[in-house]
Amino acid sequence: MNQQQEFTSLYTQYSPGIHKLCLGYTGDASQAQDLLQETFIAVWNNMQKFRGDAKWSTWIYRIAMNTCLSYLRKNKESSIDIENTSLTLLPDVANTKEHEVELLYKSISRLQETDRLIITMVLEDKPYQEIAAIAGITEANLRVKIHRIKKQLTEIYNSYARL
Amino acid sequence: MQDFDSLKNIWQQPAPGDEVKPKLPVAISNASASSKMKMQKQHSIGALMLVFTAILITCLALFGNFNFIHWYTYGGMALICITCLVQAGILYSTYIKIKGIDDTVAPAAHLQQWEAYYELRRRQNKWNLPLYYIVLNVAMGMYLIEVFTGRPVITVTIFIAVYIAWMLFAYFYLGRKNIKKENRRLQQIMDELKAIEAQLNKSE
Repeated sequence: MNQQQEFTSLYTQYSPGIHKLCLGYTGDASQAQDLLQETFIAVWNNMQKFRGDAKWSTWIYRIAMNTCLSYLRKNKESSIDIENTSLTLLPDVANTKEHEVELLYKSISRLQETDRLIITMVLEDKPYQEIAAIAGITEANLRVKIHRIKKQLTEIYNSYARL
Repeated sequence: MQDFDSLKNIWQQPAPGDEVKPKLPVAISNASASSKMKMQKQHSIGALMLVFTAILITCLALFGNFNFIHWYTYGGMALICITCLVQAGILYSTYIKIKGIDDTVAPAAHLQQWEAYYELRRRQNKWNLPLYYIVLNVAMGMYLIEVFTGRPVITVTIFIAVYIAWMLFAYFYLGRKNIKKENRRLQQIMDELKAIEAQLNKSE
């Protein structure tokens, strides 16, 4: 398999998950698309460095995490701000599920930067060991963080769901 | 009242827009989305333009048939070329620095590399622009002495007055304003990077 074919296969396999990760991080579809593109450009540029010490998914998610965290927040103001978002204006009849998903993304965007990325991977059911390897922290520390973030996210979600 | 498992169920159901799979970047190496690549491109193009300017001035000095009689006129031209080449070298080394940022290392190390880059930019801002202005103006002064010799005093006076006024305005107003703005921006970015790094390193 040449580099192009391998890249296409990786893109097909991981881009939906990375897209969700970026969407959870920015809370904005177009910024998420930019970050997804930037992640896979970095994947393409670094493919020759991959030695197989980690799984492809760990390696790609780490690049995505780095891309998200170093993303210069010059567009910070344009990202979704839950405080200024009138949730009561959302259509609440036809698309309840859509509304729930939207609310969840908005709740995630209220968390701290690293917490957003960690919880998105937890929501994706990634094993803790892999999340710890991606984030470069110990598994024990990760577990404590996850416990706190889960509580925080649930509280945020429920407080907005009550509005 | 939802618990975390319910949130996970919400997350894992197909979200709006999931049906539309993200498109594969068509021209990976030319995609404009990458801010890192954009920064690299800006620096490499800037360096090339300066090298091109230096070559052009050298060609003019060698083949322009100006027949200057004083060494300092050619000295001025040479100094402009050297200034351009040194500035190109600085831009190129910054390009190498950005290129060297490893996207595959652990996030804390990655953030530290960006911090080091922005710190370098901040340090460069302090001395690079003032020095560039001083040397360039000394070089222009050396060049203009012979060029202005024998010209009407009024023309020379007007030219020098306009030139000095523009340089002072560009350096003391525009330049300083931009440096202040840029320093504020760099400091903000470094603070944000440090804050994110602290989030990662915090033991709970």
